[in-house]
Formats: sequence, structure tokens, C-alpha cells
Amino acid sequence: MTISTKGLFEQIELWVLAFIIAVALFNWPLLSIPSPDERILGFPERLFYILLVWLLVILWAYIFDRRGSM
Amino acid sequence: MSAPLFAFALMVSYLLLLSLIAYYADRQRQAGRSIVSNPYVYALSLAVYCTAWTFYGSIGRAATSGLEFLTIYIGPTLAMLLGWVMIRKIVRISKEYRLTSVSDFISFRYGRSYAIGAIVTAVSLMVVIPYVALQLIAISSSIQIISGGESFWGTRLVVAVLLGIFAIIFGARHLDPMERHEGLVAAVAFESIVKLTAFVIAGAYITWGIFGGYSEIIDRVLSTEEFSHLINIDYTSWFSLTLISFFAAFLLPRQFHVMVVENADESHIRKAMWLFPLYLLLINLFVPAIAGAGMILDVPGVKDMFVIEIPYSMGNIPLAALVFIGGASAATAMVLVDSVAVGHMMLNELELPYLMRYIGRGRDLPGLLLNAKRINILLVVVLGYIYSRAVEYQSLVDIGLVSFVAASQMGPAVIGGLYWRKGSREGAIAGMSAGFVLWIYTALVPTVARAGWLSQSILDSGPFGISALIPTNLFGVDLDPWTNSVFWSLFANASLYVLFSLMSTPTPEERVEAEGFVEIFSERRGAIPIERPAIRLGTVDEVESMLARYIGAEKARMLIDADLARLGVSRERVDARHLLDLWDHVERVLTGSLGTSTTRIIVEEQITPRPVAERMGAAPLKFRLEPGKIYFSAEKAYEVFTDQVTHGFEGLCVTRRPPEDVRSRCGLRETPIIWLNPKREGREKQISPANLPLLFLTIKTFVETSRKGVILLDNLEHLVLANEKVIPEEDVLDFVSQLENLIHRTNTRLILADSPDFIGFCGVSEVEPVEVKGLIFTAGPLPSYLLRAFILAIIGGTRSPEAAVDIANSVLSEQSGIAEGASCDPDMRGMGLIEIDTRCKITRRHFFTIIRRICACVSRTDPGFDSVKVLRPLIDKYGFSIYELILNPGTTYAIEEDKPVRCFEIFSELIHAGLDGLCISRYNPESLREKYGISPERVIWLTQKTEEGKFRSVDPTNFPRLSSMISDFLRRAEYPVILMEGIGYLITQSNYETVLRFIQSQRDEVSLRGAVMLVHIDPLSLDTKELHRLEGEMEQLKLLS
Repeated sequence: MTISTKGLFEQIELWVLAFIIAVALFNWPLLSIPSPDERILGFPERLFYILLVWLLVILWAYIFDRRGSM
Repeated sequence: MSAPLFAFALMVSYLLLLSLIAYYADRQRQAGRSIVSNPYVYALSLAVYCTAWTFYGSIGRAATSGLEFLTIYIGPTLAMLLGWVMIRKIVRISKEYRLTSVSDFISFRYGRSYAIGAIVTAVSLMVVIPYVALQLIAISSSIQIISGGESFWGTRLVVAVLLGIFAIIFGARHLDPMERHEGLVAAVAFESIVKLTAFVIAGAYITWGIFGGYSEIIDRVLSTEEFSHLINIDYTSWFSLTLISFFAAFLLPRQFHVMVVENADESHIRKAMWLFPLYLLLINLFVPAIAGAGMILDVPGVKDMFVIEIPYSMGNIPLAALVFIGGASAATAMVLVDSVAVGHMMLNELELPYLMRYIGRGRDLPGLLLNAKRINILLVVVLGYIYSRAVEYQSLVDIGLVSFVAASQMGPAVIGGLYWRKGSREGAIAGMSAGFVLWIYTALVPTVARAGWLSQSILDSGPFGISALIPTNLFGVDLDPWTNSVFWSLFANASLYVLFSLMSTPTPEERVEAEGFVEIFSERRGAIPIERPAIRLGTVDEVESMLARYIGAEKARMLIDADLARLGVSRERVDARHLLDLWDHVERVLTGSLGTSTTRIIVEEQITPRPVAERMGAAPLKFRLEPGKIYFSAEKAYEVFTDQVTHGFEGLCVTRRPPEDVRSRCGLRETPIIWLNPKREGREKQISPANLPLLFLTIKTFVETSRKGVILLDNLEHLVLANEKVIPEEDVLDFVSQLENLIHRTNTRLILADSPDFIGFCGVSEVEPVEVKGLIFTAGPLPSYLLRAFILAIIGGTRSPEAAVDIANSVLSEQSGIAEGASCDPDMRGMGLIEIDTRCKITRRHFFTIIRRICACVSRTDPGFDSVKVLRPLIDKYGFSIYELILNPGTTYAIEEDKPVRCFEIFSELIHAGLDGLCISRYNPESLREKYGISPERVIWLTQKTEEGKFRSVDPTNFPRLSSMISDFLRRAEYPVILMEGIGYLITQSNYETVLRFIQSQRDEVSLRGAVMLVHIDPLSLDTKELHRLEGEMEQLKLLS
């Protein structure tokens, strides 16, 4: 059994999975995990969480773009 | 200068700057140095998503609903996550099929449906109008703010007119087959930079210039009890807003345009997948801070305007001006792109299919289309202005959300179309219609009611007091108004789409397009046999002139030249295969320029109906028609036709009656109907009765593609008489002659819904359809046309034409019922006028008798006249045999040759020309069929040994029997020709004298019946005296090469 990331990003199923995970992260119940009252770096935890997930999505797409241009 | 005028001047200056950028980009493109075809410009152009809603409305939303404003940008972020699999698929499909709008895309997928194209265009128009209104309200409000509260009446109208004019300049300077506007894209990308810069600078100023940082603003807002709820999230509303913004990211007309139509390279999507979400993140970074600052500072006015109100109230006029430019930039981009995109859709899907019916040839069609597009662009902006007047009380976001919910209604049809083969036209129409209706009821009606255009009671207690039907709370489910609208509309939409798709059967065309969409990335897609409808190929010049009609002559010529170069063939050497490829490309080019629906109309004029059988009837077949024959029936033609097509025959109905009448009268659903109509009405396939070549080609292609076909023509009399004095008689003759020949040599049956009088039959029973032979000799004025054509050919082929005219008229006048009577002006004689009664009926035999007579008389006055040479072209053209001109009825001819070859060839030629033939031969009938195409039914085999019942045969010594068979034949036949071969065999089986007596008696009978007999003689098998005696009974036939 070999595990390889070669050609991983070309597979539709990976993107569908990424999409589902992102939708889950951006919605209830996962969205209810960060507290509305706590702060991280001055930002409300909830807002920080949303921005973090957002950045992760951007990072994921950035990695895909970089791999494609290498 | 007053403050409002200063604001206008600023705006106009900025628009002029954008025009310069657009102009520069277009020039660079023409020079082959596109500045737009790079991934960064592409990603920036997607930021047209961020309009005045983002610039102003998000702040207002954040100040009232907290974090919920983020859903509008999370949706597109999620959509870009599927960029490589879904958006790239949409782009690939659109490039492949030259689809230049979302309505084109959806309509093409579902069988190129005009109805779907129209629905999507209407939805898109409804989407865009509130959005344009939002931009106009935002710009006019910001003008008022930076003018210190000054404004003048008509600010908004002036803004609308300005934007409309610039939209025309940017998007409607010319017709582009692929609807690409590099100048527009460059301007939009520049605007994206401007608005992001302005917003970030304003946000940074407010956050760190006025306050001590982000944390301070957040702390002060959340510590205030009045605002502490802003950090909470309504998860249901959050989800529904994310969902509709996901769809909006690629289904809003402007988004589809920049994302798909303007995409220059699929690989740019990779960059856009992270750049666009990053842009959305950056432009929203300071929204909570600006909203919080506005609340803390208690800035007066609407919350939407905090971003410009705060710097202005702080005295920072330059920043306020920058923010104004940023906001105007955001709004302008949206109006420019959306008005161009929707204007294009309106033209292609709503207007052009109707314009096509009424545009005559010779009109400047490209100019007309361009002007219509410009009017549409202005109309979109004007409608947006009117809407803004009606709803200006609302928040910008609420106005925008109405559009988002509407745009989402295209979601199920698009997603289903991309991934589900079974998605059908019926499903898409049902789903989108239901979704659209529920959107109107749950989103638009509340908006209109709050504006006072409808009674408020509908929102309080529902229509007619039915509380379950309150638009904002259907069935009392207690969802927030937006979730209520999203849920019910998308639920009904998706459910009906799936249900109706499962219940309906896609047409072959839909199946092909579904396969093309779903498997666009699949390598095996090329192996799938795609059934092409047969088209009239025509010539390269015809293709080019058709294309030129819609995109201009020069562009058409360039495109065709480029295509021929691609195919590696010159205009002179192009063949059917190349023409098919050309047509395919032309269809795609036209789709790009005119849209799917209109292209379908144009191309369908070139496409012939596909043979299709109706559902089988329960009753047995009532009328048995033989293949290759023509029948007529005045009263029962439709009944006969319906009987055939409901028993497995593929039918084609060519009628002068409206097709819907025929369908309802005969219960036809699948059978193609061609309406013989000189005016273009409705959507049915129509051919003008004067366009006989096209009609013939249409019928011909149908015949060639059907297995066992039946054609109903209602009726030939209408076709012939409608064209009297309209088109040349020769064209009518050609049509009828070619039609007859076509039917006779194929498996198709032709039914004419004509009266016996027209066809030339008397006292005919209407119980059964009657077979017709030789239409050209009996139908209406056709015999006179034919006579005239032949006589004119004779006149043209002689050195004494005046004499020939006199001879012709003289011969005609001797024939009763052929020459025109008292109506003939005697002074016209000798002036080339041939006087033929158009009502004359003439048999084939009589026709050739007249022609022979005229030729014989002309030969006396002009010894050099060669009737065979002069008339051969016409004889070949109408499928006659040249021997019909030579062979005199009532005559027996000798054909002398060693082996009987030419005699069989001549006999075969005569029977295939339509004569009734009987062949008496020593040869096996099967071998005669193989070698000369003579059917065994026409052969009497001279043999003593034969299988019972297989072939007609007679003992060579049984002359009485042979005589009797010949007499039977002569009695039944209309235009008989007999071939007697095997004289030598008869002589050896009996004796010479008996055979000679037999020949003499048959010669007499042939003479009596006006038949023709050809007798093969092998001169070497007889001695001189025997040969001489036989030859004395016959005439020598001069064989032609």
C-alpha cells in the first residue's frame, strides 16, 4: 500500500471534501464552538475563528495554485 | 463651483479616466498585446462582486445585525473552493459551445430552449434592477454627503444617465461574436484596486486615526448593552445567506460575465481561487471597525453611509472625496458590467427571436442589433432608477438580498445541468418557474407592500386573511424573512426540477447536450457518437453570406477565411465534409453573437426534419401503400397519412394549413410539419411556396434519412398555382420532376392532397388513394409548361426560329385541347409566342408524338437541326429516355447485334423512364435483373424447363400462349414497349416460317395498340433471305451512343 499526494489536487473528490469541510467550519454547530465573549488578539473569538477559517481556505487554494505552477 | 457640481465633476473625471484605460486596453488587444489576459487582472475583475453594497451596505448591516454581513462574502469564498472543478467546467463548456451569457448557458443545456432562455433573462433582469437601484441610491446619497447635505433634484437621474452612456461606450461599441470586452475588464480591474485602496485607507484612518485601534472599537461597542447582541449569530439566517451568496458568486449576470465569458485562460482560475477570497477578506477587514466607530460616534444619518460620513464629519475632505470615488467606483463597475450583460441577454433571448421574423434581407442587421443592445443597456439603467424611487426607504443590503434570492433560482438548473444527465428541459422550466413565483411572493411582494404599492395587510394577516400565506412567514414556520424566502423558493425549485426531470423524456438533442455538459472533461467524450441533424450544405459563399447577415460582411469573410485555412482547404476545393465543419463553426459563432435561441431559429432553416414515427395505433393498417409510388386523395389524404404514421412509418407533412390545426386534427405529436407559408409567423418550421429548391432539398434529406417514410403534400395545386407568374415555369417543372424521380427510386410513399381535376383523373372513387404516374404530364398546367420548355428548346436549337414557332403553333393547333383558342391574338403569331392552353392534359405518348412531329417539320426547314442533340439535356433533366423521342408508337424496330446487349440496355432505360415494359427473352430473369435492372415481373422466359411459380415462362413452341400473354399486356399497359429477344431460339425450336408469322401478327397488334416493339436479331444466325424478310417487317433502330 502506498500513500501519495501526487495528483491529489486534480481529483474532484478532494475539492468536494474540502468544500464540505469548509461549509461545516463556517456553519453551525462548529461555528458555535468559539465563544462570543472571549477575545484573541483583541478580536472576539468568534470573529477570529471566522477569519482564521477564511485564511485557511485561502491558504489551501494558494497551495493548489503553487503546486500547479511548479 | 457648488459642492454637488464638484462631486459630479469628480465622478465624470473618474469615468473619463476609466474610459481611457478601457480604450488603451482595447488598442493593446488589437495590437496583440492584451493587458487583460493575465490571472491577476482576472482575479481583480471578479471583485466586481463588491459593489456599493460592500462599500456602504455591509457597514449598515454590521451596525444592525452584527457579523451576519460576512455571509455575503463567505458564500463566494466557498464557491471559489470549487473553482477548479465547477467554475472551470462552466468556463470550458461556455468556450466549447460559444455561450456568452448565463441564459445562453442554461438554455443550451436544456435543448436550446427558447422558453428557458426567456425565463432566465427575465429572472436576470429582475435580479439586476434592484441592484442597479442600490448603486444609484448609494451614489446619490454619497454625493449629498460630500456636498454638505446640498443636492439638487434629479441627482440620481443624472447619475443614471451618465452610467448608461458610459455603459454603452464600454460595452456596445461593436458586436463581438464572443462578447468579450477587454476594455471593460481592464476598467473593472482598475476599479477593484481603487475601491479596495479607498476602503482600506478609510478603515485604517478610522481605526487608528480616530480611535486607538481595532480592540478599542470592539471593546467599546460590545460593552454597550445596546450593541452587545451584535456578536450573536442567527445560524439559520447565516446558512441561508451563505447559500444564496454562494449561488450569486457565479450566477449573477455580471459575475458570470467576468468569470466565464471574459475568461481568457482556464489556468487563471487557479490564481483567482485564492486571490479573490483574499480580496474579499481585505475589503471586509475594517467593516466591523467602521460600523462600530459610527455607532460610538453616534454619526447622524443612515448607518450605510458611515464610511463617508465619518471622515467628512471629521473635516477630512480629501479622504471623504477618496471614499466617494471608491464608492462610485464600486457602483459604476456593477452598473457597467450588469447592464451590458443583461442588455446582451435581452437582445438574444427576448427580442431577436421575434426580430428575426420581420427583418427583411438588405437591412443593416449588425447595425440594428447594436442599436437594440444599446437601447437595452439604457433600459436596464432606467428601470433601476425607477425601482430606486420606489424603494429608497430600505437599507441597501435589503435591496440587494432581493436580487440574491432571485439569482439563486438558477442554481438547481445549473448544478443539475453540470452533473446530472437526467436533468431535462421540463424539469428546469418547472423548477425555475416555481422558484421565481415564490421569490416574487416572498421577497418582492413584501418590498412592494412596504413601499406602499400594495396593502400592508398582506404582510400582517396574509392575502384574504389567510395567515398561513403571509409572504414573510409562509405556513407559520417562523423563519426570518430571508430564510423564509430562500427556503421555500429553493425547496420548490429543486423538488420540481428533480421530479419533472424524472417524469420527462429528454429529446435526442437534449441527451447530446447533457452528455456534452456532464462529460466535458472526459477523454472518451470524443468517441460518443453525436447525432447531427442533416443540413442543407450549400456552398461556402452561401455560408459566408448567411453569417455576414448577422455579424457584418468583413467579419464573416475573415472568419470563413480563417476557418478554411484551419481546414487546409481553398474555397474552390471545399467538399461536403469541410462544409459540415464550417456550418458547425458558424453555428457556434452565431451563438456567441446572437444567443442560443436565435441561432437555433437561423440554423433550423438549414436543418431538415428528422424522420420520426408516431406512437403505434391500436387499429390495423387501413391503407396499404407501396413504396416508391405516388398517390392522391382529395378527401382522405390526411386520414391516409395518419394511418401510415401510426403504423410505423416515418412521416413528413408539408402543408399549407397552420401546423397546430394539422396536429389537433390528426393527433400528430412527433411528425415534423413544414408549413408552406410566404410570411413568417410563429415558431413552426416554414418554407415559402416560392422556395421550391429548399422545399425539395428538405424533402430529399428526409427521404434519404428515413427507413420507410411517407410524405403528405397539401397540396401540389397550391404550390403550382401560387407560383404562377411568380417563379419560372422551369423551376416548378424541376421541382415536380425531381420529386417524382426521388419517390420512385426510394422506399418512400408520397400522398398528394389534390383533387382529381388537378391531377387529371376523372370519375375516381374516393374509397382508396389512387396511384399517380407521370405527374408532369397530368397535373394542372405542368404539361403546358413542359411542352413550352421543349418547344422553346427546339426553337433555340434551330437556325430558323421564326419558322419553328409557326411550325410549333401549327402542330399544336392540330391537337385538340392543347392550343389556346379564341384568347390567342393572331398578331402575336410569329413573334415567338407559343400558344398552349394551360389546362391541357396530355399523355406521355402524345407528348412525344407532338415533339417528334415538330422536330420532323423543323428538320425539313433546317436540315442541320439535330433533335437528339438539342433535346437531350431536357430529356435527361426530366428523367425521360432519349429513345422516347426516337421511337414511334405503333412501330416495330429491329436491333441487330451479335449479342443482345444494347437491346436490353435500351429496354431497361425505357422502363426506368416510366414506360410499361414486357421482355420476352431466352435469358434467366434473375440474370436480367442483375445485369440490366429488369424486374423478373416484366419478363417472360422462353424455356422448356422451369420451376413452377418462380418466374413467368412459356414453352418456345407454344406461340398461342405467348400471343395471349402479349395481348394481355397490351390491353393493360398505358405506354407499352415490348422487347423480343431469342428469335434464333424460337426458330430452332420450331421453324422460321412459324416465327415469321408470329412476328407479323405481333407487329399488327403492336401497330393497333400504338405500342413499340423492339426485336433483337443476330444477323449471323440467319441467312440473307431470312434476314431480309424479317427486316422487311420492321424498321431499323438507329442506336445512340
